[in-house]
Amino acid sequence: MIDNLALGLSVAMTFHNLGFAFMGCLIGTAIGVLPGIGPLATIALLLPLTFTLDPVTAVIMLSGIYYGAQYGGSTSAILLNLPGEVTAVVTTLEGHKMALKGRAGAALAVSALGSFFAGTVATLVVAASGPVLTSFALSFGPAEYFSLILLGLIIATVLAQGSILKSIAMLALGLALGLVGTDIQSGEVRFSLGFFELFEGIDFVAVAMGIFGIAEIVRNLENPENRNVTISKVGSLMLTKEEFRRAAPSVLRGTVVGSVLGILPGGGLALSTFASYILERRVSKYGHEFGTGAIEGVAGPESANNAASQTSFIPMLTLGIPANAVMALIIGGLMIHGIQPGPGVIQAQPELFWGLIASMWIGNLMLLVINLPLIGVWVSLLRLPYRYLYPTILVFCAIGVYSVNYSTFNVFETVLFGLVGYLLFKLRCEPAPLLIGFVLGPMLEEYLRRTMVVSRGDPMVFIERPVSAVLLAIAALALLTMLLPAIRRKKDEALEE
Amino acid sequence: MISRRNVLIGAGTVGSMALMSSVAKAQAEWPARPITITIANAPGGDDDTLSRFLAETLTSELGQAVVIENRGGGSTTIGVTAASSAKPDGYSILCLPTSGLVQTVLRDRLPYTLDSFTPIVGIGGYPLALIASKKAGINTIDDLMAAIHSPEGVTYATAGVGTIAHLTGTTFIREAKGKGINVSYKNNPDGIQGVAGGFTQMMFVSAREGAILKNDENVTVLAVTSPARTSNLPDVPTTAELGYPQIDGRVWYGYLAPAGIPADVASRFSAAVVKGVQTPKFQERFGPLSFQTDLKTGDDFKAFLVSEQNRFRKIITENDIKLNK
Repeated sequence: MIDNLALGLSVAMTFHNLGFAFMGCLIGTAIGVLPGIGPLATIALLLPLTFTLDPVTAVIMLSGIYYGAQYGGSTSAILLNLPGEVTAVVTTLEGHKMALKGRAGAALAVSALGSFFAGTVATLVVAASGPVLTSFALSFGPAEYFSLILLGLIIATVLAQGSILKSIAMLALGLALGLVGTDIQSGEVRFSLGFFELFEGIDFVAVAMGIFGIAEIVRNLENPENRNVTISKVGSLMLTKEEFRRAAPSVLRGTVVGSVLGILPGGGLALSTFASYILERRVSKYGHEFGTGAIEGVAGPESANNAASQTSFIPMLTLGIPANAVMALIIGGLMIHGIQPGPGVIQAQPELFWGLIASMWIGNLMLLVINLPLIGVWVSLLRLPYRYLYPTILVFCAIGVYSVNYSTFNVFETVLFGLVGYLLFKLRCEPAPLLIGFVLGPMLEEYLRRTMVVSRGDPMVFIERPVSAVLLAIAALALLTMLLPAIRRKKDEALEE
Repeated sequence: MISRRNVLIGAGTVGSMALMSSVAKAQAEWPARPITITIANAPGGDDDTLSRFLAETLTSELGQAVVIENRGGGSTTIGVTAASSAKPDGYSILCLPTSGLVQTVLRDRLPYTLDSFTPIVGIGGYPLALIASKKAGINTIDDLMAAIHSPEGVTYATAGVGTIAHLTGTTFIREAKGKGINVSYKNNPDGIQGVAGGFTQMMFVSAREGAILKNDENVTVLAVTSPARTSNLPDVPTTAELGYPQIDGRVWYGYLAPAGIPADVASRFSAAVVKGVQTPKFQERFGPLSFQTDLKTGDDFKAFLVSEQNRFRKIITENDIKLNK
């Protein structure tokens, strides 16, 4: 492995490749920070440029954009409560609360350091055991995915903040919204109201930006004094010793969760941040601080997210199966260079495989170098008078949402969900379970139906397959804990404190 | 909502009549500004990759920038609807993939038909490859036939109802006089993963995708659907060689303009595309991926589209695949 990594480093460390890695990371960070403008559109735009590059260089640059965007996305989530991607939703929960408490700098710093650490570990994981992990990913069938997602949904309600009834209502609303669009199995369109734009369901970016970002702006405008208070205390940029001590174990746990889930091509990346957040809340001593800006709630999910985006390269490199649309695009770019990602690629193109792996680590280092000094710049954004800041945010949101499909429909969708978000705030309903339901609901249905089709209607398959059975048992246990009145009373007491 | 669409169609017709005079004026100096090619899918698909590559040659041939715009979603209907209502002035071109044409047969409430467009040029595409799951115990075509003829039938992965993989899979199983259940996935990579994991037994993918899997330990590539073997899978027999009828399963791509585009503009665009596809640069990139050039222009291309529509209609009616929307 050392030899291989050395080969990789010798490829990635050339001046030429370092330059393109830097460029990719920089572009990625920029588009990540701008709400709604995703890596997909950017990589598509830059793909023709890479036709003339060496394939290794091309893939190094494109991957730089990919993880740069994952990284940049947390900046706008923390500062402006604007999650542009599924993975950034969880970051808004504690990250933005931290920013409101005057700890924006610390939130950004912990996210940068945690991501770097997780990225480094995950890179080693990919290098050491990529091919072995592939067979694990493959053995994860529809039944296992279903049980995993069901477990996620149940735990999400068990650990919800405040009223359990309200969080179940939010989760149910999210599940209902997730029903809109083409039914994967039959091809029939549901609840589209005749809009072609709804064939593929309600746009995630519109829901997330509306409910979090736009609603936040409306709320702030309703009560201008609140906002002024937060601006006055931007606070120290660096982590305090206490914060560092609290964040370190969360980073470790997040790295493990992310590395494992990232390997699963069917939504592992999205699950990783939710899973890490839920885990932190359960195991951290400071679980009761969650919802008010607990650093563990940023450190864990951010590390998980970055670890997962590294390990999601495993199925792509070893099987030629892209884990998401961005990966598919990168594979498309490789194909044009005459390279077939897949089982033979490690032997046939060792420079490409190991060069890419080494460049992942270098890319993570670059992101740290780019982002740490930028924290001061980002945080000073908060000092801008709000009357200048909010119209700018709205314009960037509109551009971002529009650019997803060049469609004004998505802009109207965002506005609508902004109103929904404001209404939910007035009703004192936490929107996070809604988003969890919205993201996981369609996946739950997809895997349930697929399991049943493949097993030809036999539901026993869920308990006959060991991994699925264990996951279901944990889910049942979690549900039981929630339903046991004694424990619930305890939970209520804990919440009152 | 039907009424909303009728209004849209009406508006389109009135609009295009009003435009006739300005179109006539514009064609003399075409192209005077950048030309947009609409891709009816998200970036990264074959239609996107081929068009972006061709755009380079088109730009230098036509002397104006050729810009790619992705308008994905709605199983291509969003992008095709947008393109159908664009001005027929030669500045808006649609890249139509096979699945886009299937939609016109599959769904009966679309705001466009093939007649909303003037077909300009078809460029060819990829044949399909039949893959099967070694992990599910299928190593040869005989194993697969045993599964197809088993009482419960074979499971075949597709990226959804009405995709070429679905139509080809149904046809193949029907011709083999067996039984099959469609297992729909969100996209082809997810489906391939299902086959590699042994959860679904077989799948039709493009020969380009199939070639990635030729050395896979979990998947076997059993056959290709083209009349002859493909360049990237020289060891894989054709379905005809294996003694099964040759199924016309392939994905192709073509360029269309909103109906009413001036004939000389259409022929200049078509000539530029033909030139682009014939360049060694294009052939060297896509040839090894099993891209099969099949240039058809103007009326030839239109006749091809109509015959494809009829073929799809036959498969769809025979197997009762029609959707309501």
